[in-house]
Amino acid sequence: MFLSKSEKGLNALNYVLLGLVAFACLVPVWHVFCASVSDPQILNANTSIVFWPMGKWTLGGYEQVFSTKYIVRAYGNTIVYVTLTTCLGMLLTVFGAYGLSCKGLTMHRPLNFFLTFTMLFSGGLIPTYMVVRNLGMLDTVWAIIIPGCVSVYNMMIMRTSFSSIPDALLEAAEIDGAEHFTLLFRIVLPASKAVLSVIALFYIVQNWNSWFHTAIYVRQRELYPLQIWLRDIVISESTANLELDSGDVNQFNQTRMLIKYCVIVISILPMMAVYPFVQKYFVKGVMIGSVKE
Amino acid sequence: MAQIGAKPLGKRLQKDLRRNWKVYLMLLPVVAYFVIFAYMPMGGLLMGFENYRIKLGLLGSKWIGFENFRRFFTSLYFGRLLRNTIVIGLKDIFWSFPLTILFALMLNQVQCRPFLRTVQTISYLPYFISMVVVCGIVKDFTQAGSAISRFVGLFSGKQESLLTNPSYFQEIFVFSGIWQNLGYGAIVYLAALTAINPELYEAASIDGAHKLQQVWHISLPGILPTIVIMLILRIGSFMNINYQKILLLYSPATYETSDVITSYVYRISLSEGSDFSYGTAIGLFNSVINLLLVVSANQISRRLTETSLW
Amino acid sequence: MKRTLALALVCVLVMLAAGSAFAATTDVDTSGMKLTEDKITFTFWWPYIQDLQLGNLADPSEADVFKWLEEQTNIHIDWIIPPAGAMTESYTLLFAADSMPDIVYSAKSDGYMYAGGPEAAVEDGYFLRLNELMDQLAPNYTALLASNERIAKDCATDSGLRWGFYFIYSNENGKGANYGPCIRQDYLDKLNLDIPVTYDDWHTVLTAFKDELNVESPLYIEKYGNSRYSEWSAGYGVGRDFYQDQGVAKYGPIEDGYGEYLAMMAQWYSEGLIYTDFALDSDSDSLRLPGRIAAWCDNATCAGSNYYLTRGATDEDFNLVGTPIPVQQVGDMAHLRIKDTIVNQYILSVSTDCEEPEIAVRWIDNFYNPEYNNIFNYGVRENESYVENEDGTLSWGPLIMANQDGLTVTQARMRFTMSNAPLENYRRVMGSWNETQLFSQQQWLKSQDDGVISDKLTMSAEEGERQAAIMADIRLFVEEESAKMIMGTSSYTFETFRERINSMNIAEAIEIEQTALDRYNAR
Repeated sequence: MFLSKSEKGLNALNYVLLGLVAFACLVPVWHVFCASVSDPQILNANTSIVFWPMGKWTLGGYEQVFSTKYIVRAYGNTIVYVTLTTCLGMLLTVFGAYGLSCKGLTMHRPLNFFLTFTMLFSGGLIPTYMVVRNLGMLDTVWAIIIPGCVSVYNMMIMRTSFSSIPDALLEAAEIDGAEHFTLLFRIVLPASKAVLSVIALFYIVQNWNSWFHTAIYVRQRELYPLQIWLRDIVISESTANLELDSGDVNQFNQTRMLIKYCVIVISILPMMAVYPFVQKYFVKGVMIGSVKE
Repeated sequence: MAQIGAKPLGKRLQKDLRRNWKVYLMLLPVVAYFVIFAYMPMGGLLMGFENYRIKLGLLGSKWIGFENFRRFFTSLYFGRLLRNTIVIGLKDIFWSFPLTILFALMLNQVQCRPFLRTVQTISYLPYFISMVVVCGIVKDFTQAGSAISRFVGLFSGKQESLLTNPSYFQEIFVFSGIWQNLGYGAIVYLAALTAINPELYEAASIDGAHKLQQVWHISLPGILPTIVIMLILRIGSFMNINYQKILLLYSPATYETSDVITSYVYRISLSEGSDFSYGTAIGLFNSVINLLLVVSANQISRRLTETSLW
Repeated sequence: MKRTLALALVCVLVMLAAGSAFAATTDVDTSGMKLTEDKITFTFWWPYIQDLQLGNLADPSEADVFKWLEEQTNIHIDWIIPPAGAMTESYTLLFAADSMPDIVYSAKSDGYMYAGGPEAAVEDGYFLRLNELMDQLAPNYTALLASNERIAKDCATDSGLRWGFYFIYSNENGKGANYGPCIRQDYLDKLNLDIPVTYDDWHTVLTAFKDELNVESPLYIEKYGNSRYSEWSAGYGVGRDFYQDQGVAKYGPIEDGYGEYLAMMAQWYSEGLIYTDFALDSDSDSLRLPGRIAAWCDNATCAGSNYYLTRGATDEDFNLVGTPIPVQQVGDMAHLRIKDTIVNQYILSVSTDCEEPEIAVRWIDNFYNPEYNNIFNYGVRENESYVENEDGTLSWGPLIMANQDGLTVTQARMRFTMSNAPLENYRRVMGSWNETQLFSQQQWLKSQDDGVISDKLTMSAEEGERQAAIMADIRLFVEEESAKMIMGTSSYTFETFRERINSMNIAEAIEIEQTALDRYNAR
């Protein structure tokens, strides 16, 4: 294709700007990685971006993090919660999406409204808390797993994808006597791998990163997921609001900053690790959802 | 279909149930879930009209009508909360919407596949990072002495932690959101862009249209329906500013610009008070406004662009 | 790697030492402490997670003192510790949840208080009325109450309800002032000036700091244009919130004195004597250490930030000392400052869900047993967590004051003693003070605290709710507008400001305060 001079200039500018965007997205993450293996003392004094580990490289922060009982336990909890919540969420999402994509269902419109309305209007924090409480789920894993495990938005994306499966395929199976469960599991799901993996990824990311339910529904520290501790370490750096009546405090906890970065790294690594496996579906899946039926 | 529609609903349902009972079986847990976790809490909104006491319960508490709403509307902070909620919402739409579309358009121009894939992959990265960590990183990058703070200091003449200054809070909130969602948000538009018929560009090119003109006259109109749908969806959450993120970033020093309705509800009902009724009433007000907004946006869009969410 | 090894080694040593340390405390009679044959577990809501953070303890039960207590009483404690940053939320939700922990810690000023107040908490069936149980089963605590009228008065509500065990200072005078105005003595020395007494003195000193020493903005005030306990406005006879004038409850911001105070501060601000951005709450080392500010209110002891009052001992160029609270004329007396306390605001309550309230009450009573008082205050390790002084009193030992594993004093106190003991011997804190700290306290004690309204007032649920609803908006308004008036950016004059507050029903709130105060005084 022939490009004029100004178009070439524009093109170059485009590349440069995109490069900058990528750089901006990468830098904070890189900063955290490098900081997590830096010398803790230099790190404490540092306020600028870390482009390369400072001082002598050390894995001391990681050793300390993994020698801390509750962090390891919380890591395990998170894995369990993410697995259960995602499975439950996927199951409900698939059922809902299949129901919505079924043609000729008498209750289609009311059902659609019933679900969409929950996206636009909600009871709010305290009423939801009361429901969870009345179900007797407070302070149990169920309060972490069940509320908020399904997203209607994801259901709609999946519905769109299911609807795009050629009718002929389904009709042929129906003539062969297949009922709905067979249709769903034998035909619809295998044909929707892309969207399934993307929605699963959405759920995994969302559940991996969630902390709020635990913060308000759960008391026992044994049940805390990683994010609660993470929040503790990353955000609440202030000292106790104990009556502060003690002696010298100049001795600042030396490794505090280092540990903060280490915990961040171990919290984002699994997500970084999952992503490449679904990446080939990622764009495709999101695209399917974006096309209106 | 028309003749089925003529039959009475009961009959139709019966037939439908006989034929599709397995679909309804699948839908049963889904419906049950939303009844319990979405509709039952809506019943709890009643407490906004009561002087709710936990021991007395929803039915036993004293009914006070619109007293809580009156208290909120006459409160000194009503104006500020509403203003912050709206301004943050508008700033977010004003910046993140065009930037995301621009990013998609720019990506769409890239011919070099490896470059495209690299940039795209990297730009999704922040989406996978949790809010807690993002806020931690934001604090890191805006503390006194950090690169951004020093840069801002060049203009303001002050070295300070940017997050303690109310005049920067909203920008920090909006731009950290853009940082996190730019790549992910652009996917939708990229999808729409690839659906545009390439012949249109070729024809325009032959007519001597400049690249920018092509973008303006072909690409943008091509993705307009997607833009409209995304805009309506965005308006659907206009008032529901992510208070978890606000809570993680704000401090009393910045309430002036950072305190929004959702964060105020959280504070009033859980952290600084335990006024469940008042908090719920304010939350209800917020939800109703939000519902009105999205319904009107949908109607307007249906009129003007013939695109609508429902 | 080395660090981990060292840590492990320390742990082993600690365990070994713990065994022998318990043996060393056999001179304390613990025979009556065993509360149960079969181990019982109580749940205990305790909001101090930060002390447990990384590098410290996973659980307070691993702390020396609680290990000792568990061994003696055969009671295990299951600690419920809310995540940091969600502590008041967690407390609020205790009452919304379907069950309460057995023992709950409350503290009004930290927000750990039932919305309707203590009487309502008992009436609504959350906490037990403890009067009878205490009389029967808590001899040590009731003895304390009987020993001192002030304690007895503060440890019950107006109606005489005892809804929890208050934290009490065991030494006679309780805790004296440990917070107040401070100034850079080294700057005063440079200019040959005395510690300022009156507002005029302050003006002279601050101006001299600015003009002759180039201090950027000599005075730092809090974001609401005053200091925590109204030290700066006390000389005008007004507090920044409710206070009392010989039994009459008043709200400072609508009193004439407050207008005069604001006018003076606005004048000082315009002269550049006050930190420009005080309203932003940007209080930090970067202001104090380089001397960008030279006077502010500070703690005699304080964890978490730099410890300014002791700094002078080691740093010639940074000598901060306490000053008297400024007054208008020499010889005037200020009546507002941090209150001397014998009864703290912290409370341990037993919930109605506790299945063994008798045992819980007896367990808590142990903290008030004079026999064990030293253990809770100083730990169980002789010459380590505490050392015996020549006069027979105890002081914290090297494990706490100079911990080799890098624990801060707060962390070490949590690990080897009780960081907040229900019967606290404040001497343990004062004992570690240096001369500057003691001198500073003497300065602050020159003023009286009789203007302060006790935090032990109790209100009925309606009174409390009504006052809270009125005051929530007024307080925020006053804080923001006071700051703006000092900065000269307010659209209010003092008169319109006062009218605005009056129009927000302040009279009713004052009346509620007055009734509660009257009831308190009549106890």
